[in-house]
Amino acid sequence: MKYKPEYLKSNELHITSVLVQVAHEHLSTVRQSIEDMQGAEVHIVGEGGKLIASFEANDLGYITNSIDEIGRMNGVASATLIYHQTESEDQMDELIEVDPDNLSQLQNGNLS
Amino acid sequence: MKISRRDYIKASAVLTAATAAGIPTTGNAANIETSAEKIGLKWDKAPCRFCGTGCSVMLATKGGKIVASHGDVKSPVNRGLNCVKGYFLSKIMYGKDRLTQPLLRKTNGKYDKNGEFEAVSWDEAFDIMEEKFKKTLKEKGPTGVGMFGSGQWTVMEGYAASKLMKAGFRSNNIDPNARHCMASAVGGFMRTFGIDEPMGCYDDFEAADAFVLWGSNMSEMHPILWTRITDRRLSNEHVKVAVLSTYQHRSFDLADIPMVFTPQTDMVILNYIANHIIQTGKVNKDFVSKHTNFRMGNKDIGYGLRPEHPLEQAAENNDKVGGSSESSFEEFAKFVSEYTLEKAHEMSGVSKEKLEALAELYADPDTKVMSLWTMGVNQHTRGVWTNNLIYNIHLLTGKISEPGNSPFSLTGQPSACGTAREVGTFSHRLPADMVVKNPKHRKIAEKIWKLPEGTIPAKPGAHAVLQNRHLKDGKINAYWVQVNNNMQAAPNMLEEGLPGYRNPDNFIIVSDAYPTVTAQAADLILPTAMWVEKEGAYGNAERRTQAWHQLVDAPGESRSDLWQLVEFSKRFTTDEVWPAEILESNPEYKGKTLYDVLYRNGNVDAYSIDEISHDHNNQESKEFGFYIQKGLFEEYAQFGRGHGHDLAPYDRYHEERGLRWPVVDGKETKWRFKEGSDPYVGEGKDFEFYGKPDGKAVIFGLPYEPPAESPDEEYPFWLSTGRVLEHWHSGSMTQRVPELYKAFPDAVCFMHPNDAEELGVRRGDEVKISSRRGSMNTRIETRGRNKPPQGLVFVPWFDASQLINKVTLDATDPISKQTDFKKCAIKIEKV
Repeated sequence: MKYKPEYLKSNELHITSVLVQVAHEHLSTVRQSIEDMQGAEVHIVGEGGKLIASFEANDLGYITNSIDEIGRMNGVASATLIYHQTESEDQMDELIEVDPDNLSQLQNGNLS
Repeated sequence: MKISRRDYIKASAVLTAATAAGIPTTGNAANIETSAEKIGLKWDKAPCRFCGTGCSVMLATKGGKIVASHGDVKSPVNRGLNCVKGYFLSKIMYGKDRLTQPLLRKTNGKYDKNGEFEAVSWDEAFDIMEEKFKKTLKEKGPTGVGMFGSGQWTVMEGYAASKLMKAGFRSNNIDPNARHCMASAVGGFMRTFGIDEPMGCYDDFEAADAFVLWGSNMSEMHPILWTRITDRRLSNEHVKVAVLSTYQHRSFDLADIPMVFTPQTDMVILNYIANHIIQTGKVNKDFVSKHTNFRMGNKDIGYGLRPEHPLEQAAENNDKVGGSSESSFEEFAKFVSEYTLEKAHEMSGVSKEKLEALAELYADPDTKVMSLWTMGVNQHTRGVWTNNLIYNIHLLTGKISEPGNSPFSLTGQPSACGTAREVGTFSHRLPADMVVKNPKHRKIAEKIWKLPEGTIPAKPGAHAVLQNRHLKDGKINAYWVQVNNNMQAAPNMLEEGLPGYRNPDNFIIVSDAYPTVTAQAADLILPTAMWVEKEGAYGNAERRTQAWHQLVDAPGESRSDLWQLVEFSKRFTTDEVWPAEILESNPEYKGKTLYDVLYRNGNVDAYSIDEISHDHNNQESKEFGFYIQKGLFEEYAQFGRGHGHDLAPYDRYHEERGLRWPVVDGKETKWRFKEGSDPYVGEGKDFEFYGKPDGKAVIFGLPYEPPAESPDEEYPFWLSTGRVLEHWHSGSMTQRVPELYKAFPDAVCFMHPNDAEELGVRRGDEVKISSRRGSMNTRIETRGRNKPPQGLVFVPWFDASQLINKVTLDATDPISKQTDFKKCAIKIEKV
């Protein structure tokens, strides 16, 4: 998931996470619809219909519009932006040293 | 082990969301924050600077800028969530037209009221301010100067401003924009309970069986609290939600009992509910006899208009608006008996079935009910009465001060409670609910402030609407506005607001971060540090006090309101501003500056700059040479400690996600006035409303009285104004965030499709909205989020290019002096 959509020229990159609450019977459809959105990934499908996705895009407006779109999907009770970070795109592939303990915590958060 | 920056940030984002959602993971957001240095981020907490909910947000700084944010999972208020305005909080400081230098109107290098704005130094800005203040004080005395502040001031700023005006300049002409927002709520609390602010708290959301919204669109205005009501309603089948408003809005989506009523008839419905409770034998007689008194309020109290207005000439009691006489349960029962179901139905237009279902929520002893209200009740020519009437039905049934039984006045601004109300930055108030007209209260304030007796003037100053009238009439000539956009916000802008600011006799100073409508109407603009560009504290709607550190530096020469106020105080000596008699009997104050006597008094300067957080800057303290925020807070806290308003030691607020006062023996108070949960209630008392000398709350007999202006043949529509989710108040911050601007770019006139058809206009058409006072142009919206009934339109006021306050009426509640922005008569024409 490291492509850059052509229509987005900005060097500013936004990374966000979104919490979605979905009625159980719609969970798989909603999951698929989100994964089909540009820049989106679904990371966690928790109990009680809670789904966590991340978005990355050069335009934060694209992300908020996408969240609105998710909010309007069948069976979705709410779609809420939780985390937002702005970064420069150039630094994104830079490797950073992490403590393996920390990494395992992050990965147990089901980092795909 | 190595991982890409992208994956690291994404993992952090996901983990934060999982923690907010309560999904078990082995990591948690705290680990993310402590390991944030890997990607060069430093995380801190701060309360959101928009509404009165008081959400806590986590903010990450990098390279002197805020680069990341998320809802604070440790906050009991928002539990990791944010509303749409909260997502973009970090962007409000980075608008392209941010002011970075003082700007003064000049022609040929000299100040000229009709000149163009030119950049000047702080010295030059203070020079001209000093000249104008001194000239005015000499010619007009203390009542010639004035200040208009805000519930968005930090606690310390409001407190420093109040001292400067009330004790320094000896003028009570200081009022906050909370006057437009919460004054009726304060009036309601003081009349019924003798002490301000809600007895309950947000924990009531998870305990109530029924929620009743009296003129509040929480879905858009308090969205995070609305998620808590939504969760409660959707996960508990028995829970009911009733929504009352003069038009249908987004909160109706959740309503079991949706009710659109004719404007002003909320008072009829409330009196009907009281009558229903009595008629059905549901009065909690034990509670009522032990804990309440009955009084009949004065009637026919006018509309807070200029005295020559025919409505004021006709009003019988507009000189004794707050008066009342002793009464009894029997007299009250007789008084409300005329408010029958038939009458309530006929006047309000709400069906009898719905009215009865609503009344039963209150009457049924097994239903715990939470009433919630904001501007629909407060911006009301009988706003104080309507607050009183809501308390009546909770008191008759004893449904108060216990989890889930909660009349809860929601707050508009982030520190309307903390700064405007608790600090007492109103023209008639002092800290901790004290008032200037009470000699004992003045004496207490003078003692804490270490000032001579007689320093604080006894006569209340001019309130918000009166300040504009005094500016127009040339009674106030030197005027300073901080943290608000009152030219856009105040009613009747063309007749009252603008003529006052542009009156050639007046010098107007506006401190702001952006060139707002108000700043552009001023003579001097001061560039202001905002929110986390300074250290501060706010107090939210549930009595929760929250503090934050300065996280980034303000751009250019911007300085906080606190710095501006305190620095300006150095320009005056006591000999210049205090009367000779005070100085003769207190010679030790002679020749001192206001800075010396107000802020270097041994209290405010008691804490060394070594106590400032070593991880954060603190621009003002470093410049003044002492920890000024702590000194101001601790001096202020002396007013309330031991008197039911106890605050914790200041340093603790940097550790906690806020604490709800009174904080006694280190513990916060969730439900006031109830034995066991409030340490101020005497043993064996069960309930004690200790704001009143006898510990009893008051049930008021108050009638329906009509609004100041109603539709007629010439002006056939009701106009209601208000906010939308995406924008905060006048939009001076949120309109500068591109995503929020795009989400709701321009104001519109929400209208019923049948009305549009009759007028021959379609969605998107331009129309002219006019009242007897002014007009503005906007576009028609017939399919939007707000669905008014026929005969009423709703126009939001956030849009600086479409000023609806050219049209509104400056009628106020005569007791609270708060404007009724929800009712006036207009006509609409196709352009």
